[in-house]
Amino acid sequence: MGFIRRNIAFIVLSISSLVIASSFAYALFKRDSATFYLKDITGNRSALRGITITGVLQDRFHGWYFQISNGGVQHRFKYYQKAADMVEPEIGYLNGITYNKLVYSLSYGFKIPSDATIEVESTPLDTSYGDLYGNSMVTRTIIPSKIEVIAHIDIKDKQFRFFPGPHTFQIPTGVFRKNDDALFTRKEIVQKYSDGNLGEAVISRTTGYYSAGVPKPYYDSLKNCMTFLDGKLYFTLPTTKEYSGENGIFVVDEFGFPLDQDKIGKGRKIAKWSLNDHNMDVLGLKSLNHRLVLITAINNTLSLRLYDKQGTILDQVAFENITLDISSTVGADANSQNFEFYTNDDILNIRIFSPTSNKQDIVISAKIGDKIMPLHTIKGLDFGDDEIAQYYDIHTEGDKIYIVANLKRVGESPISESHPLMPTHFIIMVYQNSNLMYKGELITDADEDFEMDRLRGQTTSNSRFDPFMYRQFYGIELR
Amino acid sequence: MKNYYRLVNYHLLSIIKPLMLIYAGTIASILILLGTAVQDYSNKYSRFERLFVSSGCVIAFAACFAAICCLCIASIYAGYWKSKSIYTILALPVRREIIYFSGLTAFFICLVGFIASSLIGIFLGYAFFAPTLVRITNGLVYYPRMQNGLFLALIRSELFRLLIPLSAEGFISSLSILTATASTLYYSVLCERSRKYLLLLTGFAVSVFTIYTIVQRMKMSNANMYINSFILLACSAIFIWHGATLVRRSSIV
Repeated sequence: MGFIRRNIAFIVLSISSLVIASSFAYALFKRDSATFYLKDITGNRSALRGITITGVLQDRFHGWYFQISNGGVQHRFKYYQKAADMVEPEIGYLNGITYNKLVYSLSYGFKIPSDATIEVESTPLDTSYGDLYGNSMVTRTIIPSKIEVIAHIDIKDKQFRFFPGPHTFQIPTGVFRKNDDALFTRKEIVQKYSDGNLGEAVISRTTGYYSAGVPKPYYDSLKNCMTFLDGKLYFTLPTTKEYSGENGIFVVDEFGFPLDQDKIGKGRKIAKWSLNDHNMDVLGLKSLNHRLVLITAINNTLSLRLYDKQGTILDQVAFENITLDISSTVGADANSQNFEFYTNDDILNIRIFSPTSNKQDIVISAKIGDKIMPLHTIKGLDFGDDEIAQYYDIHTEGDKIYIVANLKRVGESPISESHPLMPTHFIIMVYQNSNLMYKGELITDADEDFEMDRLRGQTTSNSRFDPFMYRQFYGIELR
Repeated sequence: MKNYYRLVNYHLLSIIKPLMLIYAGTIASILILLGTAVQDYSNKYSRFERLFVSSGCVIAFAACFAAICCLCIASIYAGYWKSKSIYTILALPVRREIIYFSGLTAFFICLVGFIASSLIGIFLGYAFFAPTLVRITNGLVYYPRMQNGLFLALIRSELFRLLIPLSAEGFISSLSILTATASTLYYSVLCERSRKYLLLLTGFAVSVFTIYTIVQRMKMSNANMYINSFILLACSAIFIWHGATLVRRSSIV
């Protein structure tokens, strides 16, 4: 007892230090105890030889950086001390692309051509509560029979605040559309003075810009139609067969400040083509290998056109075996055909898909040089009827196409497949000559984060769901 | 050195019973609160770090921390009350700085012991009350725990990240917070005893900055915690130097 009394400080400090040191040792020892392995579903994983898949499985507090190469999985732990340590998720902006940390968003405005007829609908506004002089107000809806599309581009930062410098570009495109469905309208609120000599005054006028619901050959944002090449923004308009006039590739030379005029900033149409044959759908524009690739469907057949940056056409290739189902209402129909691009080196990979079934997905790849060289076409991917895939990346290497996707299986959990807590699977597929060589899944324990909340019957809505509280994959790359 | 060691033991011995009670209370409160919380179905399938918060363990932790601080402050004031032992201590044939540092060391050991008892509570709490998943294999229901669940809780909980930081920046920050807490509280008491009430404001300012740093850590702010740690350690050094000076000059009697 005397010993304890004489050495109480040493005893308390020793025991405390031992407990604290053991806790640190436990944490350091356990940091590599994550589940990370590749499970083969179909084929032999030797198909992965020659390719490296990297990425991070992270939440707000830590990340496991992994690398799959030669069929083996390696991973290392990283502790996130601050929010900036996280791998920044790539944000898919609606109708926008990011370049140098700024977001460039495309939308449609319109002007009324001189040869259009105009229908005006007037509705009286109830102003009895405020106007002492007996003036009346009317809402006028102006419906032109035809419009010319004005392309409108804004620059904003990633928090969607306007860039402080010149941040607007606007140009009449020469693309026309009949407005029989009254999609493009202009509303004015007009005050009519009771004193007949003063006439009327326009109080306000909508100069609205359209992005959703605009007729275009796919249901998605307009981001596929903008691309940067050597620091300059190039874009085209996604048009369906119902448009007329002359579409083209536009380059933005200079942005300006918003003004009440049709043309803002400086820009040009460097390539042009007529839409008057009504047989062409323009899907998108992508820069690759110092050239511009225009993705179109001519008579519903997928076609690629190659341009240099002066707008000179270099090559055109039609994929005769790829027929696209493009109806006139696609721009407003969420279930209609859609497409997205992936690039690696000088290879353009295009995925054409319907959101309702991934079994019918089409993946094509083409090498972009002085000419377009088609490489691979896969019609129909090896997904199950109950599987819904979101692709992380598509990569073409030699005679193989590698696909990495996030997969949900309908019915795997009682919750809806659109619910954020739905289980997901990290799937790797390798195709050679359009045949599946390998399908595997990277197994981790990350779903347990979601499983806890699923067991609680958590009713987290999409808007309240904080994705960074759950381990998820980010920054997936193939090389 | 021998005198210093004896004095540290003397300071600790004078409060050992209530100190051990607080340590035991820290562990027991965590276990009781967790045990009560897991009876509630809404907590049955909750991650451990969330269960720890929702059960009230963080509040219990804060209360026990406050109790430790009060105990240490009371032990200093006890020297002025009843026994007037402060005069005996100051009359000892040892350097006054040793008297100061022995008191500060005892305070520091109390806080280190408190962290250790909290960690024991956390580890035992996980061992007894960790939430489980539900798995059905071949018609049999299993209740496994989350893979590596305690480790995940340690790196995800705002409080646990303060106690067991796994980065150099976090470790130095936590150490500086601990040092600043001990030195500031001790210094504040010495200022009050020596009637230098204006200097109490500096102690208050450092306490506010310590709380600010803790909040920044919890929010995982992008601020450079090395700078905060340097400020806290610099303030601690000044307080220690001036505190030792106050004791040496007998200003505290």
